[in-house]
Parts: sequence; structure tokens; C-alpha cells
Amino acid sequence: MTAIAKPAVPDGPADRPDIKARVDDLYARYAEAICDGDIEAWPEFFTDDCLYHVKPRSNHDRGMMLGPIFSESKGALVDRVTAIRNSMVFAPRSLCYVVGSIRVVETDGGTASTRSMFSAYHTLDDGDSHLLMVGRTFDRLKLDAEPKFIERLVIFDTERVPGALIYPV
Amino acid sequence: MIDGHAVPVAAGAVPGPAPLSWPTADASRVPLWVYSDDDNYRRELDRIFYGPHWHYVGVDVEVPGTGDYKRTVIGERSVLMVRDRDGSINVLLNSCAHRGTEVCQKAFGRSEALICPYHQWTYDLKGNLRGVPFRNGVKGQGGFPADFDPARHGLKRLKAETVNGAVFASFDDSAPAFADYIGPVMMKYLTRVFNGKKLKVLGYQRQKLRGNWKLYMENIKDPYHATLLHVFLISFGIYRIDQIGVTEQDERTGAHCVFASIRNKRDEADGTEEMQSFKPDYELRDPRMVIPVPEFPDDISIMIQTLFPGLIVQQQTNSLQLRYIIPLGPDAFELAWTYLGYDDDDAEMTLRRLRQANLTGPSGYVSVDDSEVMEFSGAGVRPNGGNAAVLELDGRSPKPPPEKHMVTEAAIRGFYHHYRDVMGY
Repeated sequence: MTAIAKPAVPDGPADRPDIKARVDDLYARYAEAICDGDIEAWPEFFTDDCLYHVKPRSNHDRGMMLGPIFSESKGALVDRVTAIRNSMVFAPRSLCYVVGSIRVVETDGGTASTRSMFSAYHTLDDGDSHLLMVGRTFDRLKLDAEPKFIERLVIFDTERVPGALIYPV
Repeated sequence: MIDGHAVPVAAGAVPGPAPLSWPTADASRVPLWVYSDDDNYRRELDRIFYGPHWHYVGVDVEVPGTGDYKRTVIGERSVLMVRDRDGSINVLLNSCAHRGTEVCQKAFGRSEALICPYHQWTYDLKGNLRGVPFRNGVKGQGGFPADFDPARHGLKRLKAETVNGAVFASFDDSAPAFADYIGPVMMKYLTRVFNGKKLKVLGYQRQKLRGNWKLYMENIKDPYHATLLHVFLISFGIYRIDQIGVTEQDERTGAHCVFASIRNKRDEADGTEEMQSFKPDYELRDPRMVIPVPEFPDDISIMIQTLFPGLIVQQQTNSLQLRYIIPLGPDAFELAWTYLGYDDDDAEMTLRRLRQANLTGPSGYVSVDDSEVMEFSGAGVRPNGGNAAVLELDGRSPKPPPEKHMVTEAAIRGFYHHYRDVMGY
């Protein structure tokens, strides 16, 4: 497992500019882990009792819970990494995950609710890069010096997934 | 049809593509052009998708109230499943009788009448034409001819039937009754999931895969691969080729089949020596998604039913899914998943179904293997139309083994035996 670099941010009072800097840093490092293919690092962005849920916008808008990935613990995220590395059969690919419009919607004690927009492109062995997915995230973070996801809800517009969604977004 | 005959193709002096003829009298070979040839694909649309066959449209609870509609696709044609005033369900071609425009654009909607946005031709929930703007012209000018008969310009209404909430339709009025189409053995399994209890839709998933639609049906009719490709299933004893299971076919046609297997204990590893994928030390940190609770009055842990041409009904422990295949030309298809539960499920059962859904869909621990292999197959067959697939596991007959075991490719042979009949090869 690759260690995640600690950001040079003091664990001081949770004033907003500091929170925004720490949140931005989390999203940047998360995107880097995906783009670097360092999926072993991915569960470490989450708390032990996290919820990670990826679902299409159409289900979400209709109040339906179902989506491609529904994980209720960090252990389940580790299981997914193990399966990606050991049991799933798929063509080699890389992901380019671009995140923007990161906003801290509200803070409550040691937690923050955040939103972001993203696009993810995948590149297979033919060398062409294709859009895999665009969407939004609705997250809740534990605001330690290095914030972690308590909940990460990924709502994607690209309802007809081209091929498969192998790596996390 | 047994002596496969060539379909007319353009003759030429120079060596060209192989003519469309079946290489063998039986279904132990499948010529790879069936997956890529454009003329063959057009013929499939006419004979299979718009011919006397039944296609899944939806479940009744998707259109609970009068005027509720759902858009779906049969072959390449958009159709609407509409709840009529009398509570019945109509399936209508979503193409205005005026100029062919799609009448409804929303995936789901509700309307008192179906109104084409282009010129507001208005249809009732049965598809009858009820209103035509300016029919009598404006200030005496224009208008439709006096003999214009709205009764002759309705939306095409498909033949439709419902089985315990599952709605099927056919473009061809000569299609047999649905029960006759699938036969009593298949009906027994279909009504195992569609058992009369009110259904609940938990959600949908969609994938676009670059391969021919038939490759996916074959994949589901192929217990050979399941025990070799799917490490995840094997490791947790969810499925293994040596476990107690049955293969059942609609023996009249070979078109439809069922595999049903009974979960075995993980420490019983008979028959795994030839399975390189078997990893008995695989442990889950969060095993909740593989913990089943019995809910059917039998011990079947996985039931997978294929109904010709493009529906798969699956019960994988407590996960209930329909997979419906929509062709997108010869080289691609959409896989449309509908996840079901029952209306009286408690919160814990709903949660269990959501957890188990991690095995399937675009990120499914099991299904990813298949969707990826579909693309490998698509890439491999596309430029090699002159070659043929070999289907000889458990012999060359399209009939299922009398012992009903699962070490067989008979169900795929059954599919192609039927396919040749339908296609005239």
C-alpha cells in the first residue's frame, strides 16, 4: 500500500479558508490516486464505517437506491480492490479523473458536507481516450488534519455505461 | 433448414467474403459472420425482433396509474408501455402515424393522452387517433380531405400479454400466445420469480457493450465458462460446475432454457483441480453481500433463465434481476438491467438485495467478467467472419443432457438450432 502524503496543514480551529484548503487537497489527492492507478491507496481516503455509493442519476432522481457500487464499510472497499487485482477479468485501462467545482456546503462540528463535479475518461490498449462518465458527488467528510470521506455519493449522468466501471470514481 | 443454404450475396470474380451459409448440418458450428454481417443483422430485425416472437417490455408496477407510460425499445424501435383507463396495459409504437416522429421523449411519464410534439396529433391511451389540428382547415382553407379516416391512422398497437406483472409484446399478431411461446417448463421457472406477489423496482442499470447481441445470450446459456471465468463465484461456492444443478430447455424449440443450481459448502472442492481460477483462501472483509437468506420454497441459489430472443431472468440468491438485450447494429448492444424486489420486502430484505447487486451490473464482481469477455469476443469475431465457433462440449446435439447436468454447451446449440429455423439458414 502506498502511503498518502500528509498535507502541510495544521490541525487548528476549523475556520473556513482552512477547511476549504484541506477539502481541496483531499479531492486532489483522491483524483491523483485514481489517475495514478494507485487503487490500494483508495480505501484510505475513507473512514472505517464509511458509505460509498455510486448510482445513476435517473435512479437517484426517482428515489431508487440501486447503483453499480454500494459499499458500507472501508473493508468493503478493500474487498473491491482485492477483486480488481485478483479476480475480475478486464482489459487493461487507465483512468483520467478530473474534479472541479468543489464546494463546502456546510460544516457541523468536525464534519463537512461537500459537492463536486467530475468527469472520468478511460483509455484502453487501442490508445483512444473515451468519456467513461460525468457526474456529481455529494459527500460528507470527517474534518481531521487529513479529512476523510464518511459518505461519498457519486451520482453519474452517463447512465449507459460504456463497457464496465472497473476502477472507483 | 438442416442443410444450411447460402443466402444470396453479390457474386463477383474476385475472392470476396464467404457466402452466408452454415458450415455444418448441426449446430455444433456457428459461423462467425452471424455476429458481424450487416445483412444478417437486418434479417434478424425483421424475422426475430419484428417477427412472431415475444419481447420483454416492463413490469406492471412501472406504470401504476392511468396514463402512466414507460419508453422502451424492441429491436431498434421505440415503444411505449401505457396504462389504460381500464387498468390494462397497451404497448404502442412510439412513432407518430403522421410523419413518424417519436411521440414521447421521457423515459417515464404520465399523460391523459399521447400528443406528438410536432403537429400535436393526439392519441388516446390505446393509440387511437383522437385529434388532428386544422383537420377542417382554417377559415375554409386547407384541412384534410373529407374521406380522411382517423381510425386508420392510430399508433401501431403491439400484441401484449402480462404474466404476474411481467409485460411482453410482439410486433407480429401471428405470434403464438405467450404461454405457448415459452412452453410449460419455462413458465414454471418464470413464475418462480414472477410468482404473483406485487413487485417493486429497486432500480436500473445500463451498459453499452461492443459485441453482437447473441454473444450475450450465449454467455448466459454457457455453464462451461461460469466455473472457469468467474473467480469470485467459484471462491465463495456461489457457483461451481460440480454442484447440484439442472439444465432445462424448452425441448420443442431449444430457444429458451434455465440453469438452476443449489449452493454448496465452500469446503467441498470436488472437480476444482482443472479450474485454475479456484482460490480457496479468498476472504472478504465485509461478507454481507454474499450472505443469502432463503426466500423461495426450494433450495435453488441461482436460477438463470433465457427467453428467446433477448431476456434473461435471474435470481442470484436474493438478487432478482432482468437483463434485456437491445441490439445496436451488428457490433454493439445495450444491456438493460432491471432490479426487482417484492412490495412486501422489509427494509432488511431491500438492503440485502442492494448489497447482493454488487455482484452484477457494470461494476459487478461477477458481471464485469462477462461484459469484458463480450468485448473480447466482439473484437475477435468481427474480422473473422469466415471462421466458425466450435460447440462440442457434451456432444453435438441441441438437446439438453438427459441427466440435466451442466457440463454442456447444449443450450447454445439449442439456441442456434432454433436460430437457423427462424432465419431460414
